[in-house]
Amino acid sequence: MNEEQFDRIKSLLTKHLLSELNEQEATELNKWRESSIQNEELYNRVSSKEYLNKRYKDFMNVIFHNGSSNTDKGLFNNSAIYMRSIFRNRVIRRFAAIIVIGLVTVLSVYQITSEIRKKQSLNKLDDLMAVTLRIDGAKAINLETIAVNTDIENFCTKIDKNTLKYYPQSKENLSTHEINIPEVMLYKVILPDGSAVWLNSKSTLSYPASFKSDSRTVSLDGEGYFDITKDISRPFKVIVNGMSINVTGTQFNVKAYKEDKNISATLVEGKICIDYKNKLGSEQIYKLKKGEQSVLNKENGNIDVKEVNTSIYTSWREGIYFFDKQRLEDIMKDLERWYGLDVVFIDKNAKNRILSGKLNRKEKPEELLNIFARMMPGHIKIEEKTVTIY
Amino acid sequence: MNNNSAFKLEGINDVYVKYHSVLCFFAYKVTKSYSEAEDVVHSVFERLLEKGVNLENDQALRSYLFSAVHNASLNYIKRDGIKKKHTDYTITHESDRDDSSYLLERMEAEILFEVFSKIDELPTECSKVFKLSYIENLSNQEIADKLGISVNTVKSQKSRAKQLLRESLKNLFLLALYLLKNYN
Repeated sequence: MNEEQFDRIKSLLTKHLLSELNEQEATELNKWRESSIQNEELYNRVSSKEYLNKRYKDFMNVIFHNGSSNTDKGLFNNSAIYMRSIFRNRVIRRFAAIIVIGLVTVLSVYQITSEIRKKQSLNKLDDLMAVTLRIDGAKAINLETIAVNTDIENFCTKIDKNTLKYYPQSKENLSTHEINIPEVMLYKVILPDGSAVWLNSKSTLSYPASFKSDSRTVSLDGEGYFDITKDISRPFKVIVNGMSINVTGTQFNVKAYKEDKNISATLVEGKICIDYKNKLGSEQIYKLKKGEQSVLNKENGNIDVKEVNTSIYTSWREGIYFFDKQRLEDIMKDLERWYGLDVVFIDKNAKNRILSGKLNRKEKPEELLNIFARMMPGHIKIEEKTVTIY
Repeated sequence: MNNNSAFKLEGINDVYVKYHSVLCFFAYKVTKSYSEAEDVVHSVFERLLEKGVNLENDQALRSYLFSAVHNASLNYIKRDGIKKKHTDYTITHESDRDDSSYLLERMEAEILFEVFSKIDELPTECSKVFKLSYIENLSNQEIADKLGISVNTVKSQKSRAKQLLRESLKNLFLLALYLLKNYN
């Protein structure tokens, strides 16, 4: 049987299944049936309601396991299925590993200061795009122009390209320092008490040059990972947009971007206490346990606490971006901040698509977006720094 | 690792999305286990990636995938201890594992998968009625009783389903017409 005959018989049998055969076609199919016992067997199988019933159950089983009702057949949706299966299927896991290893090897030399930085400095003021430090509201200091190991006003020094370290201060100094991390950048600050804070792109952290003797208070807009030095006599407090997080010695991640709907705190080690005052002044207090995450919905004030795999929420420090069953809109918000992109949703429904995956920040944004483009062919367009999803 | 492998992965993704379900359905008949069917299909994709089969020729690719899945499924049931559970399949098919029996199995899988998918894509009510009639073989009255609708509604939903299926399977049907012309 050649391909043509194969397709021909397939078509006739399908018609037969739906009682759509005309006389001529029926004659042709009968001839085929008579030419071999196996043909006759196939004909009888697909003509049997009992058999169809059984195979339909198999079909539903397969479709069910593929995680789709098959009613949505858009490419995009299938991509989502593919993405989900990334984690489930060992072969695809291997494919994913190949992608990651491949790209890491090829692109590991990628440096933020290279190409993209050049491009950006053409469009925006250098200072806007640089990591800056502002002391008591004075003129911002561009930290990128300062050489490593140079003293900055007796407060701190850059110990490497992306780390600012404060000296322990002998006496209280309440001058307010504000470090501002622009899009694309990652930075680490070591506070005067030895606590370390990793700051994600588009984040601002304010803190005093030296902490008071009875408390340590910082405020954050954006995302930070805190590794706090234990000091029971001086509790540590992080203030974010209407909420405060009280800490003794502990490690946790806070994601609190002004423009985001949620504030989330993820506890990796130790204990923290979430204290949220709503607009009406009523107060909610939650004690988080290790491995728990609280998510505050700023719109309705609800706080949801659940156990999570904390590494998903903290791997950004190593330049790995995990998204586990997250909305496409939320994923894109993070990518906007990472790469200084503008994402436009023409198809509003696409915002709610759920995807899972793992991306490596070392990849060039173009490469990374190409991965998305492959996953949603025909639904994503990338021009320069603008991403359109339609 | 370079662009070449990235390109190949991109192609594989498309092929995977397109054929994964129907191949699992095909393998399932032999393996009788979903997870085994999936494993079989994945092992085939794995080999596809290693071998670097030309992805552009869709017909050849389809043949390759179905025949590789068929062989891998049969190898699976040939393994010790599994055979007994599947005697009904092995008796009829292992005796003559020639080309034509494989092709007929493949034809069956392709037809049923296509038809079932299209039935599933029908509007909910329409799909429900059609499944009860076509797959469960219930009478119009039985369907009406079961769904709490009138016999007339059952009839009209059935004919609507037929109409929609005719439309969605048009390509397959047209193929028959086109070839018929060529033969004459």
